[in-house]
Amino acid sequence: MDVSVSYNQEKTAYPGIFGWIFSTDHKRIGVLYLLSIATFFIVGASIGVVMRLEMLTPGQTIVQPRTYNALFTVHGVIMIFLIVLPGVPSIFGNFFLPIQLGAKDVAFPKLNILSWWLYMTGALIAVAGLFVGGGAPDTGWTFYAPYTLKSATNIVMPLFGAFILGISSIITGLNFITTIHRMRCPGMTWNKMPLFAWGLYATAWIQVLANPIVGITLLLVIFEKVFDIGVFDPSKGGDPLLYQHLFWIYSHPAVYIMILPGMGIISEILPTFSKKNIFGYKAIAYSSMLIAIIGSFVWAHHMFTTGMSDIARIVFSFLTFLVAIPTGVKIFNWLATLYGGSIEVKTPLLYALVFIFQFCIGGFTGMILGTLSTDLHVHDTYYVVGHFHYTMFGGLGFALLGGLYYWFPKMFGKMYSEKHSRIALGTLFVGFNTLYFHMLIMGWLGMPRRYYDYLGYFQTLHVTSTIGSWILFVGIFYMMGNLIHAGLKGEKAQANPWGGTTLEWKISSPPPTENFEEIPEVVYGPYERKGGQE
Amino acid sequence: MRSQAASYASQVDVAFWFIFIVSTILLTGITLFMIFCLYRYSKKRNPTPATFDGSIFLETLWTVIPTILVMIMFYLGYEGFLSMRQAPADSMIIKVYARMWNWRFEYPDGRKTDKLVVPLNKPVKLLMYSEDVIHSFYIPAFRNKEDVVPGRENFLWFKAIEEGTFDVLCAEYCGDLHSYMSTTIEVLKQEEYEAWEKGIVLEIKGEALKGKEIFHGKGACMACHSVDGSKILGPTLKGLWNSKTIVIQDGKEREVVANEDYIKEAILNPSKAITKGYENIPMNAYKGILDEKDIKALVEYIKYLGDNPK
Repeated sequence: MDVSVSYNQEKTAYPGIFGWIFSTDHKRIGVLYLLSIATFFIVGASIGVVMRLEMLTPGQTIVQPRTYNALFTVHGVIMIFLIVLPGVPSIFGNFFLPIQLGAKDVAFPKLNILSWWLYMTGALIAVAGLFVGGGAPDTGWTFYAPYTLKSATNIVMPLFGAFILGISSIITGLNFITTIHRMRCPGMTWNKMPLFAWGLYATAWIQVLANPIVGITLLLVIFEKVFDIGVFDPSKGGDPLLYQHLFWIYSHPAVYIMILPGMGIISEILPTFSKKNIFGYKAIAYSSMLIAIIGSFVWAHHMFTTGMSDIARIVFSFLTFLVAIPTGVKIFNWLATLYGGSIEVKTPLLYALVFIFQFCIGGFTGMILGTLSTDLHVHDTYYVVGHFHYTMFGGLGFALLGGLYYWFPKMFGKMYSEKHSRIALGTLFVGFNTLYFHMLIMGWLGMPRRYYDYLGYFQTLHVTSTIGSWILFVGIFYMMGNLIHAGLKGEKAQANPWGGTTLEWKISSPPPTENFEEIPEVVYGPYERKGGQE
Repeated sequence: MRSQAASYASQVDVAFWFIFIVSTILLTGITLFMIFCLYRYSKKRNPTPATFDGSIFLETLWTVIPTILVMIMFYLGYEGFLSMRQAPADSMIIKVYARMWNWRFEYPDGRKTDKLVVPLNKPVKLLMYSEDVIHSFYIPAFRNKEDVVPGRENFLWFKAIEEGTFDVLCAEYCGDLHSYMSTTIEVLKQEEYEAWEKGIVLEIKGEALKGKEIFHGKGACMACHSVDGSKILGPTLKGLWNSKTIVIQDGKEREVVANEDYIKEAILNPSKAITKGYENIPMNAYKGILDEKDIKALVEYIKYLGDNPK
């Protein structure tokens, strides 16, 4: 095979789009995920804009209560299950993990394309559920019992869709664990592995270990709904708190599934643009594992107001605070990486810095939620909504976009306009913070979440927040237009436009199908700048 | 809303402000440091990057200091939490019943209300039950909430230290009218409270009283209908009795007199003729939920509201 042909130009066994959707090439699968996720994101974000529009005035603005309840449920389901959960691992993990490890593909390429098919199947079942049976679910994305069991809407299909998405996620996790254990190139010891790979590794374990729990839970809800057996509904002898425990045993660690690979991206971007080795490599790598482990024992902080025993609440509050420590360690090491560098200010770096700023707000507001007394006040208010959008969108979302701007030249072989990228980032930043910071204030003032209507004195804050959603929406389209334009008309990208040191920068842009002509051998740490490594 | 109307509210606010101030200092420091690095260590000002890449001292420092800070935060939260959860033994017990989408309160002497009225500076312990799904009893001015879970008895206690009327909200999503599941808590001086206690018993008697109980209880009418003239979701029942009302029947407008037959029909089969202006908010049909006697009592109550504009 001619190694100089790039993966996206190569002649495949199937013509056109079939050469992509039946491809077992990890890079093509990464791109498939990118396009699928971007499409769902536009849908999810549009629903978000409609929700904010409804909040413009008290009482009815544009939709009925039931429609509003369906909107926030569908927004949550799409954003969580179709975007942030698969997000970074399935786009950039697929595309870059094998390359960063110096491998030709993941361990199980066929399972890899299967995971995309399962993802699409799950997504389509969930989306189809909106239009058949009782219509779009109105339960909130958390599907709490017993409300979900009593709801007349179609919850079986979205739940079954989510169940299938879980299988897709487990397969990706297994694939990555095996790839990382077995396919690192010669010389790449665990402590010479790029930090992005470490983030994926920690995440993969949570995917494999925690996903089955939520899978079973969702099936139990379906069984209870369809066969009328009492697992979670107390009127049939079930326990609604059992549902919440099972749900959060997965769904809290899932937060780390989302954020750890995003943090991995930040750990790639900072040394590249500082032209300096990462500060505290081991601290960053092992803190990912610590976050994954401690993070698996903090789930019940979602349940401080449920009537769970006071002792349990105290223990879970304490454990929750422990997660803050490895997270802080990462942030301080990133800052120390900047210190003394020779910093080249480019869009990906700016995304990384915005990530640090916004993720810090997400983390600090998280401490108010982890603190028992303050949580009793702000639990289930807009404060929580603001907090998790700061971590998930302001953190993970901006990390993902940073990753996209960082690796775009590598993935598509084209450069984008630096000027327009910065304008887009500026718009996103202003829109994001206008939208969500006001939610934090409203929550602290006592505005409950999932409220169709609200008391008049919240209106000014709601209006400001809604204006933020318009700015953010413009930013999203500006950013997408910027990248699509670059993909079509951009200048050709060099193999290593940023001066990166990890293996993906040592091959051409876009990479050839087989990645490497010869499997490379690694001598230095991934970000060390000596011995000819840039 | 900024009132700290419960004894423990100021403790919650202290924990909040401690975390807020620590966070603001750290966030400002982190942000300024990033901006400083962009300026001082730009490619132009610092063409040759430094080579250091780790420090055990620094790693220890930024592990230990945050650990101390978060432990202080945990402790502040823990301390406040204990005050919020340890109800004094002499607390007045009020039972709270939550259902889609209203609150009902039952006092020790058997009185039932849809608004909570409590004496100032007296500990009150709410024992809370749900009849359908999970709700959450939330008083922002008290900084406290507790879920009301079917099949469980959860409690929330407080000692109100400020007179006034405060919002009570449902904070756990419970369906279509979740955001309308609200009521108020009125904190009265001891003498006023005692007067209220007597007043509510004397106010209404006989069939009309039964009707009022159904209105707040079995029928849950007050979720959508007010008795004081204000518009909630449905039309108010104040002054309804024997009044002339425009309804939409089979797509046409028609004037009716709200007599016994009309009210009976409007409860059992509400979608047949809908009061003009309320076409978009369908009411549940009560056929099979309320029997003949219940409706009779409700009619008496509506009569009472009409005769007795209070």
